[in-house]
Amino acid sequence: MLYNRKMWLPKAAVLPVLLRTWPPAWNTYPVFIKICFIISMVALIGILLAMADIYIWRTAKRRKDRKKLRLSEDITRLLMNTVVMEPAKLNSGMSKAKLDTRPFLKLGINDKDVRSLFVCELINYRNYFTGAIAARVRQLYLDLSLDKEARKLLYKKNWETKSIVLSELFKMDIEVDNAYLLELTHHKNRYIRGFARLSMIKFTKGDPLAFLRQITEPISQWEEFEIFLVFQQKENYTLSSLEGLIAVDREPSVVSLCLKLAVYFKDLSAVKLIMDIIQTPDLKLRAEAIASLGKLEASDAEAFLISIYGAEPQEIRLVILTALGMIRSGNSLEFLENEFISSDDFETKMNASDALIKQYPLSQNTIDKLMNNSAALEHRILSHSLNPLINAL
Amino acid sequence: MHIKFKVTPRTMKKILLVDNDAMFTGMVSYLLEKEQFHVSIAKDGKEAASALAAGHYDLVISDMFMPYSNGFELLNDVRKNKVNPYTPVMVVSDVSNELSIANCFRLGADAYLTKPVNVPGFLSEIKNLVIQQENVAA
Repeated sequence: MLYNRKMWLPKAAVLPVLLRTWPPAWNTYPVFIKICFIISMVALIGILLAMADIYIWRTAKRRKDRKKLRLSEDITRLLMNTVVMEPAKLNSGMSKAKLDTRPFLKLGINDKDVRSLFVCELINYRNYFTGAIAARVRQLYLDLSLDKEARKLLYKKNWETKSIVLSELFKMDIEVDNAYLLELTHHKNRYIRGFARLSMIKFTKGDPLAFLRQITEPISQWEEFEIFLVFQQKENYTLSSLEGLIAVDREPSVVSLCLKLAVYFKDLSAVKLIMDIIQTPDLKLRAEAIASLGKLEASDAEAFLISIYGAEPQEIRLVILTALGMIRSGNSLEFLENEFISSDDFETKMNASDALIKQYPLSQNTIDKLMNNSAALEHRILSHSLNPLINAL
Repeated sequence: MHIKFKVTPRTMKKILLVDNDAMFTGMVSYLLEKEQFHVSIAKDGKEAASALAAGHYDLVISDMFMPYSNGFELLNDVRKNKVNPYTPVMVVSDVSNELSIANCFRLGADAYLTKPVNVPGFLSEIKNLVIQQENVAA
């Protein structure tokens, strides 16, 4: 017999039953088997603990979700009955009347989770409904003093809280201290920075572009799009001066945004500034600036564009031809005609022809002359440009 | 004597609400039920097409961009439906570009509203479309 059962069984029965009743002797096993066994046991216990944790966590989450759903239904019912319903009243200045906040206070909005759910629902109402309802939702937010709490949270160090609160105040149309907002527009966290910039544009009455003057890092295209959207939604707004913003030494993404704004607001005072930045070595920005002159229909820049044409690379020349077509003053017809006839490049001929057609009826005589006298290729290009179905696209 | 008439499901007008945004469908269905409409919800164009094939609706309110099958396809399906091709369709979407709106009307939409909607206007538009449909059916 290789082992004595009495030898390895402890007198005090403290070891698990498994070890006690297990026939092979523990002590007789090689060390690596013992280690493997211990590791397996630890792994097994770990798995069991993890499973238990997952089960407990999921049960708690399910319970929380059920509670949230019930709460969400209560909030919807309350908001529907007090804010949205009775459309007849909505038209008769009901938005100015004070709302009864007692039923909302009963929901327990002092609790952090309830508050966030409630505010989320309010924001959704403002996203989905407009007019008196949106105004009443904002009024309710103010009546429940949720803005005061949000303002307090805004000064917390936690970036997540800060960004959530900033977005909340922005969506509820609540103004924030301008100096602090300006500070946040350069925050290292991009969410905070983004919302601060949007708030700045939305609420600043004087010069909402002030923060752009301090930007040294590129603005992402998405951010550019969001900023542009906020500008579009600003009521009765006339664009403040772009001097110092459309400049060669400025960050190209900022200049690009300002060019788009100048075009959108038809700011002809920016034409001079745009002409000055055409000397930039950045070809993309130069093309964008020339295209902006075209979109602005800046006839003052026409002679300048023709004068720089010869010294520009091919891609910029094409943009100049398109811009001349958009300006539609009729002063560049001779230049366009020459380019159309003398150029060997197909793209140049195409763009010159499109530019001529765009200046119709001023260019009618030139087009007729070219249609009658031009060679087969030129004739085909002109016919293509004259096709209204192709131009419509 | 004051007589109260109970509104039975038979007299209620049926509306099919198609949108993948559960929050929006929840709010609008609550609103419409309060206005005595019977509302069915579909999450996308595919679900809506099968609901339309299975039963009659007095109005379809649809979003434009949804998974699987979008609003344009749904409009096509409704107009090609042999059983009831004249069901009015109202499009409620975030999209406000002219080309999309023109395409919707070209495909046979009866109304187009952009989100956020003005509730009184939204409800009166729905009632108008339902009344029009009632007159066509009569």
